[in-house]
Amino acid sequence: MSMKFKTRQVDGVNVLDLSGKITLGEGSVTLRDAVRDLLSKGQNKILLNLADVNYIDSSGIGELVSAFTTVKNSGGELKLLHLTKKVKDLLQITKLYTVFDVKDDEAAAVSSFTS
Amino acid sequence: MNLSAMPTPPDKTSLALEQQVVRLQALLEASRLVHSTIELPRVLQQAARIAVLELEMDGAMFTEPAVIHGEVPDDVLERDCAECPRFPLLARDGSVLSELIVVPPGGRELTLYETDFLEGLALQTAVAAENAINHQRNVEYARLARDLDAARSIQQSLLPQLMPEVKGYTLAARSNACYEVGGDYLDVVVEQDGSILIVVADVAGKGLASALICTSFRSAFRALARQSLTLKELAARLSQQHWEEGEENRRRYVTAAFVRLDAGSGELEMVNAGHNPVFLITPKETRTVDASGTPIGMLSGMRYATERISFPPGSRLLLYTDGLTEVYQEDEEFGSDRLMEAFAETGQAPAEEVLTSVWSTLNEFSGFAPQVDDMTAVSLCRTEMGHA
Repeated sequence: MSMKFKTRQVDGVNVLDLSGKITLGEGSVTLRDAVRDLLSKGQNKILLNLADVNYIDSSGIGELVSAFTTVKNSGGELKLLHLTKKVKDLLQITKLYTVFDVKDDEAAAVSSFTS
Repeated sequence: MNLSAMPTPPDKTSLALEQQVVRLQALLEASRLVHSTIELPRVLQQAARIAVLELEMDGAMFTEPAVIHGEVPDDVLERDCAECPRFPLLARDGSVLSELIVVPPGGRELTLYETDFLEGLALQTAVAAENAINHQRNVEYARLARDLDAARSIQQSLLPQLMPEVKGYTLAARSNACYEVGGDYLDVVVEQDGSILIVVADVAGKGLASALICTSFRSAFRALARQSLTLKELAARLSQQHWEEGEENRRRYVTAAFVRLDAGSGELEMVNAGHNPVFLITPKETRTVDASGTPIGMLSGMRYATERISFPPGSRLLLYTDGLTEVYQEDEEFGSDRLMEAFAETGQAPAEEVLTSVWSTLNEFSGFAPQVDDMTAVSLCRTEMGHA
């Protein structure tokens, strides 16, 4: 199963509920397009909910970073919510855990975006 | 069979039968002709020619690729001729390969016989066309396979062919690509002052694209390795260069572990750039050397920290890529804890035996299943005092 996502707005923040795999050629392109789409509509506060992402490979990690820098360069913020063990492990190995703003609570995550 | 030589004058039924036989023979001959070639344009040319000659049409054409025989008016060529008789060529999976369009003289309607014949012709042409397309794919596949084979030879020739011999130490390396070529990289360079520079790296992704990035990483690494830089400076420069190559390169970032051995003093200098923890066992401790920064080429301006480690006699080091931890037994991952155990179990074996033992543990775990990722490791061991 490749990746699926739903977008919802909570207090001006776009929450992307991702599910499935973020891997080379599958989820990674879906994620890229979803983020580009939001940015083109002027939406640059993005919270990626990774609770149902059961697998991510090195290309998927690359895509997360690429989304992070794209949003940052457009003056916005991208944060991560509810990491699964696999994703958390990979972010720790690659020292990216300190680069991303990682949250465990949705309400706190939403209110952490600068208004 | 010569039907006209029949002894009795033919009645209506036998006349109809005779016609039927002649038509079937014509279709059989048409079939033989369209199957006589394996090139798609020629298959279609042959079929269009048969439609025109056999049924005395003004013209016939195929839509894809465009093949025309006889006179086909412009409006038909532009494909907006809705009333022209069309016969789709269907592939085995039901998709439309092309369409046969015929132009009857004076725009008249086709007879039942003509429609039957053209349907039969379209069926036979579809089979021949699909075979031709498959044949073309096979030819292209063979060319790609030769290309990949050559690429594999080059990638293998870029691996260190001989390990430097350093008194009091053993050093061994192993790299197995999952596909023909891979995104793992290892190198061992003897520097001007005699120290040994070792790198194990993993480009994000697998296959040819990652292998291309690998060779570019190798060139950058080898060029910088000559400049006697500190390891953290080497890693920072490599990372910045890689990042500046653009977005595609940034996605194909490189996790890497660098080690510099000063054999005389028995000291190691290490930088881990977003790579799997390096395993270190010394007589005093068992520990990992974790990343001090993100992978090479992922973020601009990344800085790394160098760790200096004492590597007394009896110490051992294992650098590896995630292909070694991501070996599976059904859904269960081998993981880094088991890898550390397998490494620790090798005792005071020389480096080559360490790798052989680790590989055989991995194979036992996976039940000798085909590998799903590139697997690369380097082992460095310092022999115990008194063992040369």
